[in-house]
Parts: sequence; structure tokens; C-alpha cells
Amino acid sequence: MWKVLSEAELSRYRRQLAIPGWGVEGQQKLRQARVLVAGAGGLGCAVLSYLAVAGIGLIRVVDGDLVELGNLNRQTLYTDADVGKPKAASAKKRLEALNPHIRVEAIVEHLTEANCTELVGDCPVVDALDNLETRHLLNRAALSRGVPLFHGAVHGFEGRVTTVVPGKTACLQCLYQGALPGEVPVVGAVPAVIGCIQATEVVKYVLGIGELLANRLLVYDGFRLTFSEYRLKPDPACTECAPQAGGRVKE
Amino acid sequence: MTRQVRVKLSALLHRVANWQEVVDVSGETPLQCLEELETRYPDMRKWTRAKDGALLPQLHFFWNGERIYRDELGRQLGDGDELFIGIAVLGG
Repeated sequence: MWKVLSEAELSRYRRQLAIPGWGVEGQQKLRQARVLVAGAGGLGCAVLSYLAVAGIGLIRVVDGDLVELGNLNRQTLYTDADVGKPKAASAKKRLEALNPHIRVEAIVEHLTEANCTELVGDCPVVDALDNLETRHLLNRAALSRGVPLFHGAVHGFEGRVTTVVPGKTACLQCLYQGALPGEVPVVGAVPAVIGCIQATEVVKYVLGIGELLANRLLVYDGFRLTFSEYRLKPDPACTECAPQAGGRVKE
Repeated sequence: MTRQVRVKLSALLHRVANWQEVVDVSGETPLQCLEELETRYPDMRKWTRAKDGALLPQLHFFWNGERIYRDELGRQLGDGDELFIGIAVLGG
């Protein structure tokens, strides 16, 4: 039995409750939901902000990094006072101030092969990471747990987003086999655009409404201000999700 | 028979292609189209090739809007087909 929304919650969420297919029942689904956000950087700050204000009941944020001054052109959950502090802990404080009706669990750890699957548990996963190796770990954990993975990535003015549904779509291993070397330049607003799309995907998934970016790669070019969409398909030779290639996926 | 193919480039490749987003090339296969681009814009090879000339793994191809994998780069294109050549972006 779901707990009734308080007057304060009804007032806070009034503008979204009015959306067809949402309503009080949808808001209760969001409050019951648990979501893991891997990475509290540029993408993560945008995703986390909008999941928090939407009313996701429990957000588990995983990031082992400390806030640096060079993060502040894009990581809007932090201020100069947070420099040197763990991102996950600072994000928790800020998010719970944004919405006191939710809970945020800060996990100040780097994702590793040893902890990744356990941290994912049965939560839908937001991939807001910044490197290929850890993204592949997260992809593997999401596939083995059978939970969706909401992927976003940026470089300069360009961003990409897609949603991985185990057993149904291409996975991150299908999509990525290599990465550009060196530090990634980022225009601050670009991860915000991509992170907001990731947050939109999570909310739709929890509510069970709309169409997900399943087997669809959305490419954002902020320089020319265009969005392009491309169809994805699972790689028959994928080492992670193709059954004949040894991949094991829990559907 | 040579086909006219419209190639759209990742934003990361615009600079090495004289800031063009779309380039028309002649090629029978996706690989031939890339090779023509590399001939026309030699700096593109820094983004597409390893030192030994092998295609870099972060290069992605989409044919008429659908992802194609490395073993499909020899497929015959049709006149008027579209390719998108993307670079894996992985920052966060």
C-alpha cells in the first residue's frame, strides 16, 4: 500500500501531476523508485538535480572523486566551498536541500569490478561516468542484473544519449570499443542538455509512459544546434550481450 | 559502378574537413567513402587511423541512419545513400 502524498508534496509536484499518465499514482511510483547514478560530474549534476526535483524516492549516487575548481564550469551542484570535498557527499547535501521529500545515499567510492554489481543491485542505472573502462564495468553489471542503463556522454559541443534495455537493445560494449585519448574538453551547458535527457528517460521508465531511446542513439551537436537520431542494433559478436559470443544477459 | 554518397561527419571531424558537416563523395562501400575523405582531408587520418593504418576503434559508421559494424564496411552502397561517421565521445 502506497503512502498518501502529503499536502506539501501535492503542492510541490502540482505542475507534473497534471501531465496525462502521471497523476498521484505516478508520483507515488517515483517516490517508491530507487535509482543509481554513477558519476556526479557534469552529466551527473544535471541528472541528479532533475531526478531529485521530480521526486525519485531514493537516489544512490556513486563517485569517489573530490570537487576541484576546474569542475565548476559545468558541475552546478557544487560551489567554491565544496572544493576538496567528496562529490557524492556534497551532492547529497545539495539534493536533499532541493527536495526534502527524497533520500540520497552518497557512496564515496570509485566503481570497480569488485563493487559494481553489488552497488547496482536491482536499481535502474544512470551512466554519468567519464571514462570507457568504468562505463564497461557498469554496462556488465546492468546486463547481469537485468536493469536498464541510461547512457550519456559528451565531448566539446557534442553529446550522445541512449537507453540500454538488457536483452532487447544494443549495449555499451556494442556501441563503444575505443576512446579518444587525453583530457576531454567540455562546454558546460552540453552535459546539462544530455543529463536532462537522461533524467527524462529515467522518469518515463519509472512511470511506464512514453517511448524510451531504446536502440536509438541521439546525437547532439551544440555547435550547430542540431539533434540527429540513429538506429542501433546489437552487435552479433558482442562479448557482453550476444549469447553466441558468450555474453550473459538477465532479461 | 561508383555511387554518389552523402557523408555526415561527427562535430569532432568538422574542423579537419574545412568546417563542413556534410560532404558528398564517390564510393562503392563505406570504407571507400572514408578513404576518399581521408585523401581529400589528410588531417582526418589523425582521428580515423592508428599509426599502422588500422581503423581506430572509436570510429562509428551509420548507413542510412543505422549502425553498421566493422565487418559491414565492405557492403555495397546505393546511389544517394547516406553515411554518418561518428567518433565515440565518452566524457562526462
